Amino acid sequence: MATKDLPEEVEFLLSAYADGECDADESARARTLLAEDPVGGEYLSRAQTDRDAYVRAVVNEVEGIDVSAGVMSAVREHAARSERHRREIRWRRVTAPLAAAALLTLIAAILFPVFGKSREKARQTSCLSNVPQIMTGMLAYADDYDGCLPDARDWQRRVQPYLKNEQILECPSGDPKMGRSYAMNRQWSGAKLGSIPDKGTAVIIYEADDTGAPALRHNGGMNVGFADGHAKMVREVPPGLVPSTSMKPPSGGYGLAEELKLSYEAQSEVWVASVHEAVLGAEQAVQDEGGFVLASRLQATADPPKGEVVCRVPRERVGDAVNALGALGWVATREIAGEDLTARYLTAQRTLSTDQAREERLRESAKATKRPEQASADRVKADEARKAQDNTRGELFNIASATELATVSARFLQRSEAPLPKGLSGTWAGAASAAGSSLGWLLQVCVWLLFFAWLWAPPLAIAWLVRRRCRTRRSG
Amino acid sequence: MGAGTALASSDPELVRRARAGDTAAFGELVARYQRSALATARHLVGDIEAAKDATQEAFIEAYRNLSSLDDPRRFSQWLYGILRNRCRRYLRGRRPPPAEVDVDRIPDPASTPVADSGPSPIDLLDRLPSATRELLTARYVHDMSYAEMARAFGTTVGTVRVKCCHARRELREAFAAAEGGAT
Repeated sequence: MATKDLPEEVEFLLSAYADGECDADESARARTLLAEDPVGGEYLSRAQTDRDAYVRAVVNEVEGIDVSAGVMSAVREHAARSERHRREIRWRRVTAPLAAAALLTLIAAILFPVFGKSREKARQTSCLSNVPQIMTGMLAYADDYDGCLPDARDWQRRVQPYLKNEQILECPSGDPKMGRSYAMNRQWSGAKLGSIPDKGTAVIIYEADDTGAPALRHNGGMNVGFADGHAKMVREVPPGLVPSTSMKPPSGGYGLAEELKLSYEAQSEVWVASVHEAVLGAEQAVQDEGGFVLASRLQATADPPKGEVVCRVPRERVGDAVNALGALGWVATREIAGEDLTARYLTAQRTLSTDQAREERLRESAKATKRPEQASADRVKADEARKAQDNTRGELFNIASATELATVSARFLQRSEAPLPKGLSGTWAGAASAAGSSLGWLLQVCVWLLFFAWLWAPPLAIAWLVRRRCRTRRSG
Repeated sequence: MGAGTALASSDPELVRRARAGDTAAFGELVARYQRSALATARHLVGDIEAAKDATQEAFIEAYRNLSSLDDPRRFSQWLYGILRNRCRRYLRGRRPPPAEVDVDRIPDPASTPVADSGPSPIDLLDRLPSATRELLTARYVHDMSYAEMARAFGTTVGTVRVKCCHARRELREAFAAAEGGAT
């Protein structure tokens, strides 16, 4: 064959030239070769002929065969399956976090009350250990005071030297801002222990709220201390328990700023604040009329919040006091009977203040003096002043407890949009008042959103991580 | 082969549509390339039924993995790669493996009694070594450049150039032998 005469290098060049795969230099060389040697031309011609024959032979063999039907059938099936798969994945992406969130909610709903009850049980136990200790202090006090129990109004101060522990007067479940969680049964205020018929059932100490009312704060029960010194938890308020009225609010009034909880509606907070202000105003009005306040209560948790003031004013000023309270929005009722002891009460109060100041002065003098005789004399006088105070307190209690008095009881139920009193700024209530109830509502929405975000964060994070991992795997 | 008409959509356009879920677009690609694919498969496996199966499977695999095609303009070459692998898999699975026929060992036509019509061109071509057949189908049926062939076969352009020259020579000798036998 003619091409056999071509050197191999030339054959490579012409083969590439025939395939159009030569660069400019090689093409120029190939063209020169073709011009000089006719064998090269024959090679190219033969290459083209062979190529045509090859293609014809190969393609003719499959002429008329159609595989597209089978392919397209499989392709359509695969496409439908892929679409279903995509939809399924999309559905899973939506439902998986939802299911996880629902599961979390369910678990939380089941576990939170359980945890709450367990926690409350532990607190109840701790509280139950406080009451016998308080009762021990009470009985020790009675031993030192001719078997008399302390006055219900200031029993905590009197018993404190025997307890030497302020913490013990606070129940773990009580309001920490209130400071005092226990109250004394007024029935046995100042009573002689010997006069109590059945010490095993006579309740001396009970758990109270800020108004002095019994507080069933331990899963519907409360701890009480009996006259024989033992304590137990009861589910119902014991019969014959006379609630104390001397649960004094902490300094600064009712501690409204601290006590407000977020769960209150913003509008309710405004009402609570209004009632608080009304209580303060009523107290001032009573004092202006020459009277004194026996008890003032603010029931912040009631709906609507309620205020109640029980006061005594001189008989001739009762009408003015009722009018003054009415002007402040109070609905007052009056009771006038028997002797007017208001002046006596006020005199006793002044005497008490004088005795307290005198005792304080004498004790300081006893400490300061260098003469032992003088110090001893001062201490004796101070003790006398203390005894005088106790007597005066007893008198005050008797006057206050007497029914033959001009009494004005007033209830404040009026809802008002009055501005919040000072001192609430910086609290939720202050914020709600400052920007109006709409902002308070917005605040609550934000809190709920945050809560749901917290709830959804773990499942969403897991879903995101899984998705990311899948993508990484796919791209890998 | 494989080039569409001027009015037909381009390969990249069809690939894009097929990726978006348009099966009709992929149908156009199948119609466009099935002839060359079948011819290639038939030539590589030597059996028309097996070639049909291999072609169908190659197209289906191409559809499934369409998203992994980096350059839609190279659909033809990419399809050829899939098809070649399918055919190889078929040949590997076939028992006993087909004996490759060396052109040099083809018996001398003069000493062999030959029928009047002689062997068909495709029979002659089937006797070429499989490597040569792969080269020839890539070059002549799929119009692949040396660079594309080098990428597909995992070798260099220079090697492809030399192998193409040898393949051309083998093809020429096969046809020459057939002509000699016929005369």
